[in-house]
Amino acid sequence: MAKLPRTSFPEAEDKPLRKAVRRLRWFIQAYSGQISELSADTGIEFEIDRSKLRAVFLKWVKAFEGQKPSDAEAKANYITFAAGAMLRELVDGEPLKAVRLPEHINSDNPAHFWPEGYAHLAFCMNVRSAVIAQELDLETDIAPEFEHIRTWWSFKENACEDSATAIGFFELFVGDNPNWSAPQIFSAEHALDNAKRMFQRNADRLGEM
Amino acid sequence: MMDKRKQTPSQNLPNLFVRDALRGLRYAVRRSGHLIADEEHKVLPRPIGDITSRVVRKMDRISQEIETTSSSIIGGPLKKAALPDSSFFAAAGYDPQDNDRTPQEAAAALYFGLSWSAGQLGSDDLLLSETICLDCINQVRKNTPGLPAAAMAESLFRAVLDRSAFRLVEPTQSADEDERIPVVVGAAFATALWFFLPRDFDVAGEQDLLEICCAVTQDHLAQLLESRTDERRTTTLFEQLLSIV
Repeated sequence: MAKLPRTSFPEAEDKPLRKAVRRLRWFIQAYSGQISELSADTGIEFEIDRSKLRAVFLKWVKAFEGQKPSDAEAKANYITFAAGAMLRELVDGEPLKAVRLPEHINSDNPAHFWPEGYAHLAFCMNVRSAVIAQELDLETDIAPEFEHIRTWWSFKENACEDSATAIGFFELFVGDNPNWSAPQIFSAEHALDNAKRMFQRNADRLGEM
Repeated sequence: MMDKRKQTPSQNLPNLFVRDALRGLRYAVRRSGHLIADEEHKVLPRPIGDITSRVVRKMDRISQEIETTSSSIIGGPLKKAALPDSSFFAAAGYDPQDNDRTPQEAAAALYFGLSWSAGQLGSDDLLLSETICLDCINQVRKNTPGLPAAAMAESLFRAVLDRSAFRLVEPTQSADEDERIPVVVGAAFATALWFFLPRDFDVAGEQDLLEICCAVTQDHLAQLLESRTDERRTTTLFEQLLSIV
């Protein structure tokens, strides 16, 4: 099973993580922490453009608030979409640049193939995973596609051409059924369908124990 | 021994006036020095240019000595206008009604915030009045009991601008063309944002927080300059940023 690149998020004291994520200072520190961890793990050196990162955050918050559902059940199912929308803004805003790669590169390794995309995806997947664990007390999955280089070829090509497709690829990487027709529009029905699958996978996991 | 925290604002005003006056004198001498230095290369023959430069340098040194000596004699609560300890702020940011925080402490924090933000936003050569900083804090304390954070931030922002805490001497251009205006407006906004930002989770020190406020203000500067005279729009911008920064 694919493994999520590690990170540790800043303390949010008694504030729920879903709220801390919507704070610029938390976002900057959490993102910077993820990049440091990834550098240590992969040997890739990155540079963060803080001005672009702030712009990414502000655009994401606007998009987040714009489509946030009012219904409590749909809100819970909004988590994956919100994380996918964050990935879209990161791909679009390009706040990160890999300035040095390790000496020996493996072009089949997604982190070497597209370091910036890999870092963005790792951060958004970790945010989603942490929020779901705190809000729903569920474990999250990583689909095998996360390690398939052919999927990454397609992800990079499509997301760089149309960043909205990053949301569909995000769903694919977290094991959900992607909405390719209008990935940038939140659909409560689509999200519910994916949430049911996630609950089922968690139930299956518990049954196997 | 007298407790300085219990001093009334009026007791400190003469001290602050003297220091403001001395600071103004030094500022004027420095500015004149720059002007003469610029001009002397163009129009003054060598020996006269040298003499004027020496005179200006001497005037600056003398006025600096006067200000330093006077400050050490005068002392006073704003003498150490420095980054406040995080305990200065409550969980919801600065609380003007908190009796444990004197207006002088808040004015020192305001002075620091304004001067530091102005430097971040591109000008460290602005004259700032301690007296008016204290005046702005007293105005906010008086006018904002029970108001939401965005309204208090707007009140502080407007007080700093309306009372001209930054002394824009030598106005050579119209207000719209003056390149110092964006810095003054930006510094007032960034500092008011920093004052009233909730400290509900601790991921950044006070200086980092002020730096983020300056950066976000810079990102919104065009919008801010366009709406700076419209209280409703600036309050909305404060509301929006206070909830996400």
